[in-house]
Amino acid sequence: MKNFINILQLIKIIVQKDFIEEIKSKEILISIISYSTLVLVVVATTSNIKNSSEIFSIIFWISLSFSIILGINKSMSKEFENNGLEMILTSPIDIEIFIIAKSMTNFVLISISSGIILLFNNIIINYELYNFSFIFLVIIINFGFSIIGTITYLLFSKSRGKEILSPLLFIPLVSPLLMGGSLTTVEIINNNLESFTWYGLIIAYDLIFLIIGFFISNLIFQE
Amino acid sequence: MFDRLFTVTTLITFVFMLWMIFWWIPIDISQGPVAKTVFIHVPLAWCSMIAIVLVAVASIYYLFNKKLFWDNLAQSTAEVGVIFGSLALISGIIWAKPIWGVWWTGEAKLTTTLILILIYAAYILFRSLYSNSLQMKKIAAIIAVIGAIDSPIIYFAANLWQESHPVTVIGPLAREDSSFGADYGLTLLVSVIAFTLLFVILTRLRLKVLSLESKFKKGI
Repeated sequence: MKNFINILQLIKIIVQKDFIEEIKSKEILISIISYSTLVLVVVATTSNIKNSSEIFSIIFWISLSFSIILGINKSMSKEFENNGLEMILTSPIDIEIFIIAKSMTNFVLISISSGIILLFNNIIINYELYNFSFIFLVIIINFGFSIIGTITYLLFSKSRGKEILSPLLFIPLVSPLLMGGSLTTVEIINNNLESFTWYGLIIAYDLIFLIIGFFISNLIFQE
Repeated sequence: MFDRLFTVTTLITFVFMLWMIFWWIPIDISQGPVAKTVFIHVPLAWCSMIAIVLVAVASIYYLFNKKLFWDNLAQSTAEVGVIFGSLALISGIIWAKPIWGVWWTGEAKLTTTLILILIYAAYILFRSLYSNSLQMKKIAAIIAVIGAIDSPIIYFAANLWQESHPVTVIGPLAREDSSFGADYGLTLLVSVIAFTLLFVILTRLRLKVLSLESKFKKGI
């Protein structure tokens, strides 16, 4: 029990550190929101569709997934500046705790950003979607995004060309989440949500990658 | 001697397979000659599935015992597997155009196969971008295992998403009886054997090259 409280304390410290940094710089939020807004503007200016429920799902998930790559890269690269990660690795903090803490930070930042992206999406596409099923869907998908994003970045952290490799692995790995996200969004929009199978699958997928994260965390940094 | 015998057997099986496909079996009434792509598409897809399993098994072994052989085996099967997987996708596209009327659909099995190829492309690209160290081999093994987790999704995809891709009709998960006649079934079996033999030859060849490369690097 005492150990568990210690672990939570450590996670809290790392998350707190990230938030203090983010409040000062606002780099991650600004990069996610501005990039996704750019995607929205491009779609709005290149198509004549002004009010469509069908295109809503497509644009929302495209803008979210691509801007998240940018945000996670920004968030993770901060750890590599000034040998920050090396210092964490030499401290008595377990690497599993570090991965969980970073995933938590990324999850909160991604969730805040997706709320703002949703607002912009509603305005630009002229379609309002504030539905509990949809918000819950976005939250569980964001959880998967943050875990997979953190793992993929760490896998390629020491490699040349990590800017190419990270998205090359991230997008294929999150695609089952995107499939579920887009299909369920359309069902929600059409008031046709018959089963919660996709919710179960997405949660299972998140859990699989959480377990993978636990297993591989030590292997990644072992020299 | 063994290699030569193996190559000759593969060659004979291939010639026999081609004879069966183009002369022995009749043209399918409903789909026409394009139905025969199944004898190329299914074996290629089967071999890419074997490759995924082999890459995952070899990578897990490598993570546990750090023997170079397993890493080389994982790399060689991944490379051959990506080629076979890509060809399976291309042959599928060739079949889809006249039958479905489109080259590509957002259908789950197609998409997931493409996803898997991309994951293994990342695996191969990573190996070429990272300096040849123990750390690289370990991370590559992790990527391969993660990729293998996606492979059951491909197999179950047709049953899970239930879209336009033909559902599984062969194997323990088959939900429908096969509409193939005995001649089609036999030809498919021969083509699966022929392509599996080709897969083994190519993998063995690549494995030999990688082993020689490793020995050469050790020598330096």
